[in-house]
Amino acid sequence: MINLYILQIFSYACCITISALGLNLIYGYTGLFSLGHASFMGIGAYLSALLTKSFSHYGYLIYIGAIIFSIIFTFLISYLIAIPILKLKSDYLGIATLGFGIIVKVLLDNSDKVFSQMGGPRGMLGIPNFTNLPIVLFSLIMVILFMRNLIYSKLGRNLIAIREDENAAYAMGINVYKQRLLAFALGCSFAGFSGALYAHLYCFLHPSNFDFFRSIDLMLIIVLGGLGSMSGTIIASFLWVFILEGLRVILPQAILDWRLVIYPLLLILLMLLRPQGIFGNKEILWLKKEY
Amino acid sequence: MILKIENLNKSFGGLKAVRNFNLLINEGELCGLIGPNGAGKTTVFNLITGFYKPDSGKIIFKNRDITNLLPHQIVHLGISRTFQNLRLFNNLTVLENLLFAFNYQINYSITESLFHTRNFQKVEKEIKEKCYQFLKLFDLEKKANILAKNLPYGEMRKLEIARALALNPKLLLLDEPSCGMTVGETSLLMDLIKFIKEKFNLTIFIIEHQMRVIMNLCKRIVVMDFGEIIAEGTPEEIQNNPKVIAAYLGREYAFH
Repeated sequence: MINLYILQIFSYACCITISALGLNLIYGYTGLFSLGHASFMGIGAYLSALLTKSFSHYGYLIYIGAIIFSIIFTFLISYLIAIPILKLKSDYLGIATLGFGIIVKVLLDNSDKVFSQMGGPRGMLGIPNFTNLPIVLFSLIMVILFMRNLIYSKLGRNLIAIREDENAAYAMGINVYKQRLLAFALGCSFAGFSGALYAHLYCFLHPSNFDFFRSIDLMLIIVLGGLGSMSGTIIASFLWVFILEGLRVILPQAILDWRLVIYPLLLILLMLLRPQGIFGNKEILWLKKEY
Repeated sequence: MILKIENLNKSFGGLKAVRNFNLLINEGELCGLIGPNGAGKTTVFNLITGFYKPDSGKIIFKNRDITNLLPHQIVHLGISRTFQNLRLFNNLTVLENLLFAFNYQINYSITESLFHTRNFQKVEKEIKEKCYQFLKLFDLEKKANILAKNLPYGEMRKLEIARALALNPKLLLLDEPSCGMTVGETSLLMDLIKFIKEKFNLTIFIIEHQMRVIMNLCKRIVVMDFGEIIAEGTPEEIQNNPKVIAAYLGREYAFH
């Protein structure tokens, strides 16, 4: 029983890692401050759940189809949204993405008026349970592999140049705006992917799973792990999920609610001791750069 | 004639930073631009490289109107620049700084970079070799893995020039390259500029404050004051031009 529980937590951590890697691509590598990342996860989750629930007799075929469709759809929708809002910079961009996150949350809250299956504020039930540990693990490894390859290519170098100095990036012949759009949409499609996996893991979706606070959680993870470090994001995601859940197991019943105090205290402590995050911008093992 | 500027105007609010600016630069020339602080020299550079949009006027590069192009498009056409107050990627290594300059010249697709195909690896290897050639040329190869911000000042300047050259330009704009350098470093810099001009077959347009540098390097000098060209000619003509002396030293000195 405890094993099944741990396995589910592990799968959940894999989903969160995929999403956090996407945000790291957006904020850590390109320097675009986004506070609406969880909403793209929500879009992917609800969209894929709607598809698999409606066509459940196709089994795994529709599951894979729904995942691919969610990735493409989140890519396109985030690209379209990015066209106007990426004219903004730093904090202003943060506010704009935050606004988008709130819009998505409100739409999900009221979704039952259009699609009754989506359940609105009561949550979406009866999603087939397709996601299992091998699938999430395989997905996570593929995502890490793809991301690593992208970062150590022309695209990754363009993004890092933009983060380091926008004007110098222009002077290097980099189309800053276009590369930003691409980074944003790619990062959001990671979130869509992770959302689609997540939906078929717990078989239940609720709008509050994808609200502002989830976006903040993702932001915390990448800052903790180190901006611009894939190894850091991976480790921080797992730590974050397991510490939150682990405290639930370790702490005695009477002070269980204190875990939400202990956990921020740990965060503050870590930020004081290591402001650049666990890994800074370093990488380990084969995630290291080749030049 | 490689660059032609016609009637360029630019104002910031009420300040006319550049007015009625006309200039011709011939291929293979080393042309200097001088003037007191705030004369609008850097604004001219920013206009040529697309960082600012002019209010009116035309900029023609190799018979092509580049007035309304974006900075990166202008780089692609073959104009590259350095900045007055260095814009290196400080937190990246010397090698990476150079590597980034080759980005726009790379043409493998995203799919190829996703899978790191054989073509991808070949292209990456070639670029790295080119980077090391540049580093060798500028005597920086021992510092390839040092962060750019940890270089001594003179070498930072050198790295920025190397990076601008890696963009494969036809026209190089140098914005006060000797700024903050010692006398010895400045002499080396002058040799370097002469050397790269021959080696890469460049046209160079240079802003400079140190008269020693500008008089030594340039056959033709343009002088600006309050956004306008006030004189143009050989170093000797410029040195004896009363308008130039007035601009630099004040009116009283010029006519005594």
